Amino acid sequence: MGETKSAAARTGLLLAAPALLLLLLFYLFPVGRVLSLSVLEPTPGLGNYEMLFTSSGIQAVLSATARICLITTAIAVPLGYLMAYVITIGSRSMRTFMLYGVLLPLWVSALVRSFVWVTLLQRRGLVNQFLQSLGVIDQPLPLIWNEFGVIVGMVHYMIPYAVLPLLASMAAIDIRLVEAARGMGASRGRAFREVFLPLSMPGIAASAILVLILTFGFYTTPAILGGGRTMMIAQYITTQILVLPRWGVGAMLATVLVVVTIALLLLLSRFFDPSHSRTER
Amino acid sequence: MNGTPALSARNLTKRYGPVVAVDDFSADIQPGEFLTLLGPSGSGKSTVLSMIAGFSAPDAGRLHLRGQDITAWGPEKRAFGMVYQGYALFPHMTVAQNVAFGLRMRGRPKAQIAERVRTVLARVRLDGFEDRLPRQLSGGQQQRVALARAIAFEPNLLLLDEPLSALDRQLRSEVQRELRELNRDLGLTFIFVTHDQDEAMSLSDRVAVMNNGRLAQIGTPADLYERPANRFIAGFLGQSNFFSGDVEEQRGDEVAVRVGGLRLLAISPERLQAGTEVTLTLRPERIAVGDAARSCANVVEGMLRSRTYLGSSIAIEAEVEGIGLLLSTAAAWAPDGGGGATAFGEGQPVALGWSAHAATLLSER
Repeated sequence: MGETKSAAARTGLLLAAPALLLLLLFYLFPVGRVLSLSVLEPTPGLGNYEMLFTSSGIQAVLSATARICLITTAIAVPLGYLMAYVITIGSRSMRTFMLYGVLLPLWVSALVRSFVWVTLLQRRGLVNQFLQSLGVIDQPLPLIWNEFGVIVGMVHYMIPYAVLPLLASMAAIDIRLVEAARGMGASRGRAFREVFLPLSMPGIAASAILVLILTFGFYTTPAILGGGRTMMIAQYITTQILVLPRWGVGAMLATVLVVVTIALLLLLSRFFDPSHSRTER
Repeated sequence: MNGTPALSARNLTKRYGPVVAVDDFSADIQPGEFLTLLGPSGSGKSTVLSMIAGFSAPDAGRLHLRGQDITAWGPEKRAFGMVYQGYALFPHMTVAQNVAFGLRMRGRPKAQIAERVRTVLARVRLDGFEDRLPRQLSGGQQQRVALARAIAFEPNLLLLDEPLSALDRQLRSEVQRELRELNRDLGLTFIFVTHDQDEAMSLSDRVAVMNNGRLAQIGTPADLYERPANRFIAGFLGQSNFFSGDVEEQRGDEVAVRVGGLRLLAISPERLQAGTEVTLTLRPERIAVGDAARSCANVVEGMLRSRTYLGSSIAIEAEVEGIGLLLSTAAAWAPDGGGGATAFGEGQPVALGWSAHAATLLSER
């Protein structure tokens, strides 16, 4: 029994070996090499990591990144929740239509979408011209080349990623539970708050963590809509490595990014346990 | 019947696009009555329940609760208890929280809620399970929580949507007995939906049988079984043999019907013209087999085609000239200690007989 089991495990390992080897050779090894630079360049030691506490420039980038990512998540997830909810309770045709509406932007590159926002938000952009023609404002609003512009672009980009985990989680909720609550005297709002919302909590958490992870790595959107004035970590790393070049600092920040992402992924895996949201039968 | 009905459905109709799910459903349910909506799947019984509960609005017709029109009321205002197929317990709430939900929605004081939850859980023999989550309970226990939750807030009506379908046979008969007791003890009106004929027959005061969105017949289980109003009822509740024939003559209640080459006697209180096309329905257990058949008003000779041993009875199929296959069930064990119907062998000629009262006449082919 034990022997056949270990034999099966050996066969499994053997079958997976080419893929594992490929991963090791072309992914883990180079990534490990780059990350190891953070303790090797320019001199061996933890000097680069000290900069996390000493360099005000790095601290500013990190806090701006954290702020932008958290605000983006805080906006994208509620919007995504609203859309996922409408898709879940909507009619069949409505569901298909809205789902395409959510998924379609995924196939348009971040570059194109960022430039679309530039045309909309710039000083002589559609939004400012419209507001001025209405007489709501005298001077054009600074809608772009600042954190506001970056957040608008990032929220827009993140909505599908916020919607999808929420949709999966809501699909697992037995809608009769809401009916049951209504039948026992709960108003629509009360039934939603007491039953649907708590049952969709795992989806909210999964969606928030996924969006947070993805926003940390944003490069194109902040680069274009931030106009160089709002610097996020990915862009800062690029500058360190390609412009200056300070490989050690860039690798150190990349390591920080990887560690935070892995920590969030571990947290995320807890919310994909299907037993959390399923109705027991 | 007497007094104001607990619930009165008048001409309820529900369409989904071109499909008529429920067509002109009318029924009065008396206070304390156990009424079952019975029908095959797709017959519209669940849609009727959903309209009564207030989850779907009828396209036509009215609903009255003790004389008051509630057609426009939302489900929360109707305050009917409901037990769902698969129970629909709130998975994120404990047993006690589930049971307390309806009371909490009504804004009852905390102490009163706690007291009521205790009483109701004791009623369904689940005291001590207050802090468990639904997924930690067995199917039977979940079912009892669902029941406790539905009766906790003292609803006007209890609606049950195939609540027993997930239970195994033994548990099912136990819960059936509990349901009957609850109905009797609480004086609560029950509307029960099922596709299981035996369940409907054994539980209900009255059964409303639905077919293709229409109410086929409503009556006591005995009414439906003894006096089916149409071919569908006769075939759906238990088994029946059907023969098509023409009325030959009528003497008093007794009608002679020509079926194939045979002249069969049946009872009809109705006046039937000679030549009227009718269907004779005959329950298999009302057919005597062998020597016992000789003394009956109707005796036919057949060839025994198959014999199936069912434990308590034996099903016999015999080929009768002019009629076709005739199904009868006979006791497997005779009171004199003999083998009952086991004595008949396949391929042998056999006599089958029944009295005039045994058959029911339907004026449709």
